[in-house]
Amino acid sequence: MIDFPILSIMTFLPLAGVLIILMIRGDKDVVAQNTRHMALYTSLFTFAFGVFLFTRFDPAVAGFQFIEKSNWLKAYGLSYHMGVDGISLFFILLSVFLTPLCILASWDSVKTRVKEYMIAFLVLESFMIGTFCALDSVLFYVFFEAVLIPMFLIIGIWGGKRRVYSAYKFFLYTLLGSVLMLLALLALYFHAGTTDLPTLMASPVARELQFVLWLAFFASFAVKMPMWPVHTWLPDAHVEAPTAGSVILAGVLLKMGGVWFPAVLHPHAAGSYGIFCAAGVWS
Amino acid sequence: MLPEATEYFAPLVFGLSIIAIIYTSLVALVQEDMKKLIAYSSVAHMGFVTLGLFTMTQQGVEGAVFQMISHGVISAALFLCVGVVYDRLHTRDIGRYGGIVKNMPRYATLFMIFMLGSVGLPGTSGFVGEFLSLLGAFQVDTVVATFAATGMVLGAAYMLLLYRRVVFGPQDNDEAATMPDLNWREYGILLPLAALTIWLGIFPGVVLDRISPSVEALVTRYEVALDPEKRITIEEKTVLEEVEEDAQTPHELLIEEKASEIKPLPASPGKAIIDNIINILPEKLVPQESRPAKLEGKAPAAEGQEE
Repeated sequence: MIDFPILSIMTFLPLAGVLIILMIRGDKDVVAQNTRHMALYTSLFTFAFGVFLFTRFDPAVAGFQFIEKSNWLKAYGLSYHMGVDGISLFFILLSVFLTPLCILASWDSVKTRVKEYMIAFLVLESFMIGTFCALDSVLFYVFFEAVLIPMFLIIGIWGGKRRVYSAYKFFLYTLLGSVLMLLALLALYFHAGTTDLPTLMASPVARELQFVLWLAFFASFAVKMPMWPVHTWLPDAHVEAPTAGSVILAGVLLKMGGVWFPAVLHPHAAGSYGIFCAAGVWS
Repeated sequence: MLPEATEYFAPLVFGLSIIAIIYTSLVALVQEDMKKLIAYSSVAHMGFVTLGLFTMTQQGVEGAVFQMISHGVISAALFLCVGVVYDRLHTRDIGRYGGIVKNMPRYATLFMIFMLGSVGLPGTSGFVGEFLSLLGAFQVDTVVATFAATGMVLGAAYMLLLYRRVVFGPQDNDEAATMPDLNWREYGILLPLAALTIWLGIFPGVVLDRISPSVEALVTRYEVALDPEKRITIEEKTVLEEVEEDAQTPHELLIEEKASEIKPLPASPGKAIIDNIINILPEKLVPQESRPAKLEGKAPAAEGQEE
């Protein structure tokens, strides 16, 4: 294993790149060109970390790896908890793989507000990685929602003719689903008394509550996937978004629901059953 | 966390997934905007993901996760392909292109790889995900799997149609006929994606080996939460073996006891919709004996397979 917090480094490395980009001075063309280079190198560096993460990942382990945990808001039991399992690993890799390609794809086609555009992409990358790493429901929700902001700006500023309409439609649809999810996460917090996702997954929920919670989670999941009949925001968003925006939207953002919701919607029974099944006595 | 609710709503999700796969494929078939067509195809492909996830079988969930990864690569590449020609002609209207294989042969080759990946041709990553999802769906409900497979055919139809109209055919538009081929930068973007599409199609094990322990844990926990026999713990099993000789009675009693922990579910709304659809199909398609009984909880899927 690795003895440094690789997941946090990967999550916040793009933000470090943003800080450097903010410091670039000079006349307009020089700034634009330097910004492009800086954004590309930052994303390639993050990708290198991703490859390293992949090589150090132990395929035999079913649980979470590279765990980082520290208190965040102790009074409320919130923790900064990060980790990856075999499923989320590949979506982190997908995020860090597609971002440099997106920056390259926007090299010549984005000519206005290049600095802001590259910053939006790096911030987006940071939040995407964070969403796939977070193991605390509040931390997860923060990243999950924060992703909307750079994407909203990318569609709304660098998009096509009907960009503002599409950006709002994208934002409102996703937000509506996510608000229901926030309510469900709050209900779970009061039910189980923790925001720690692995602990939450292992706690049984009363049947009556299950159905309501399931529908609330599913609302968010269905909009994000997107499932018929709440898919109508997707064609609009894709048509108006710049090429790189479409790439990230289709490549990574649509998967955010699919990676976490099976773990949330599907259950974890009490611990002893798990050990029993792992022993494979009755299979 | 929510096992009973998941089981209860799974048929609803299947119904929505099938509509997503078939309806959005049909919508994609009539699109004139390249990006819109690929956007609708994304919805159809994500239908396979939701279908696989809610089968809660090892193959289904693995297939769904693989499909998400593969779609992440292929749809990203397809949007980049649209971006390449959009940068040159500044239109996404399919009718404005045509015959660009003559002036952009390299572009046509790479576009073909991604197009075939999206169709789900064996040897590309698209095939693995859709195949495993269908395998999972087949174990749960053959009708659902049949509808989903129909969606795959439609998927081939709209992607091949898009490719034919953009890349082949007569060169009616002079501007499209003089577009330059890929430059080094576009090459550098599309080649890694093409390599990944084929590599994941030929060696899916690289991904599947890493996701399967996590998926297995997920599926096992789901089954444990719902199956009385699997709820018997190791300690209880040891006690059971000590009293063993009195034959099955304690074992069955224990299962009964465990079953009482799981409350029976009411018939699912989604199941009723699917059953009604099957029931109105003509006799020739679905013989009377294989029709589902009206509103009777879970269909005996295992029996259906043995027939």
